[in-house]
Amino acid sequence: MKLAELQRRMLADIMLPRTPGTAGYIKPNDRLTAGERLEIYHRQYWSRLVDSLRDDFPGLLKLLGPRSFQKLALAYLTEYPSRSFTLRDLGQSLPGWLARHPEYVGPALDMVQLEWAHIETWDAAASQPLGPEDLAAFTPDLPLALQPHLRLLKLSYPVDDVRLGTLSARAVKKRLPGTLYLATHRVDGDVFYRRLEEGEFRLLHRLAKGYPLLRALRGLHARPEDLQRWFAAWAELGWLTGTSARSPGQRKTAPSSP
Amino acid sequence: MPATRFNGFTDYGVGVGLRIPHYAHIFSHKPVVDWFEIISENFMVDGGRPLAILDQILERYRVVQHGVSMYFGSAEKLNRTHLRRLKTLVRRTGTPWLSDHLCWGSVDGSYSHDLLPMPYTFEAARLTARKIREAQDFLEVPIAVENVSSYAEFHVSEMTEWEFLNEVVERADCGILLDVNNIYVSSRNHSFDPHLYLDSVPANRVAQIHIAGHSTFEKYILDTHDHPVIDPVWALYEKAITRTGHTATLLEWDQHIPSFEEVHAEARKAEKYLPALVSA
Ligand SMILES: [Fe+2]
Repeated sequence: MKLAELQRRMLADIMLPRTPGTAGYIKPNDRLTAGERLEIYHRQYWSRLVDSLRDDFPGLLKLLGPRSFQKLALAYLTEYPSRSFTLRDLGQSLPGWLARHPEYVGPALDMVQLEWAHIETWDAAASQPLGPEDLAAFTPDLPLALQPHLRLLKLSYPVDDVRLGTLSARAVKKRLPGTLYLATHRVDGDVFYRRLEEGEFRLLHRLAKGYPLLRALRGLHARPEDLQRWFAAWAELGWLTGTSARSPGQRKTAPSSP
Repeated sequence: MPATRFNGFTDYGVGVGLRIPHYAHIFSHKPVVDWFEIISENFMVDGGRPLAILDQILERYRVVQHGVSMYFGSAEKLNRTHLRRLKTLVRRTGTPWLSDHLCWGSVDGSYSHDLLPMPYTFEAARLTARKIREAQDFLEVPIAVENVSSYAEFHVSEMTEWEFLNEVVERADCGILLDVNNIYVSSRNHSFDPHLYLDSVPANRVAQIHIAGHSTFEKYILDTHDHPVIDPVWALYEKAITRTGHTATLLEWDQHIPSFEEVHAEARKAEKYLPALVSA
């Protein structure tokens, strides 16, 4: 058997969500059958990948409980095996996968969006924030760039509180859906969540798309005092950076929701 | 080996793996450590705390990169994006050599995140060696390949594991990261003599040695890196060192990680086997 063919067969067996059974390409030994030897790798694969998802999505685990989480992880990974050299990216298709599975919409989908944003915020690049003197010299026709680690989310359930441990999983499920605007961002290496006003979210979302300020403000009907407050807060948090200051090698990421 | 082209002409002693539970101790106590081994993939990111920590470590310590996902033995081409990101990290750390495993783990861009055993065939040796050469040329740093622990053997194999290792490193003209615990684990799982393996390793190519603990089950042994090093593995280490001379040595401890002091003390047991460096 050629190398490529052997590897294709073995990896397909390892990635089966159930025990693969026999493996004609593996030699048995005096203690283990070929199938039992393959099973060592099969078991390692699933425990490593499910553990990785569990570490990355603790809020989802809280919402679903261990058994449902395990079921979800198996179904997701069977459909979306890892396509990246790093386990860090393992959950990247989970928000999209969940959105296509109606049994998981609601708090679970919101939680996964938040937790994936958390992962991206954790190790994204950072740009030099604009200082007070930069902002003083700023003219509204210039494009304002946002901190590369900032992610913007439009959610229906207060899953941030569940993730932070201030609201129980049971309580969030009973909550009527509303609209929650949220940013994930980084301060001194730690990830924080910040709730946003609707107008603030819309403006940030347009700035993230690269709109110059004047165009971003069009049709927003923001009051001058609100704008002033938002800009002061963003400047303090270091969210505003110079024009399109993407650092080399940075992954292109779009805000998660409109 | 003492300074050679396979270890970037360095003479590193005993190091330990840089692990998250030890960060606080390292930054507050600033222990004297000859060098740290880092898992490259954990730092192939764009920013944030991982890189900030790495930079702090680099201010004080020497770092060697160890990878887990290059998969030289996978039948597919090397992943160029991966290599570019790895080179960015190589420039940041100044690693004198870089190691990854003699194994496969991906097919058509789908990843197992495991170190899967090679079929020991000439076809596999040729392909693996070619990929190691390509990576070495691109990264501009010596590469050392590590023998893995394995739990399966293939019908198609045409040679022993140590013959395969020789075949690959000669063709690739690369170094070896000799893991004596992996030799022990595989020797028990496949009933071969670990000393015969050791005697067959081209000693002049050994850039680094790994020592580690493992877990023993009824019918097989698993390479778990969660125990101290057992005596038969120390015996293999001693034998390896008599063949290779003073060689950079690293203790791997990845699960149920004890305190930094405990890990470091376990690693430093290797010093009693290491011949002193003869200074020029
Ligand atoms: Fe190792």
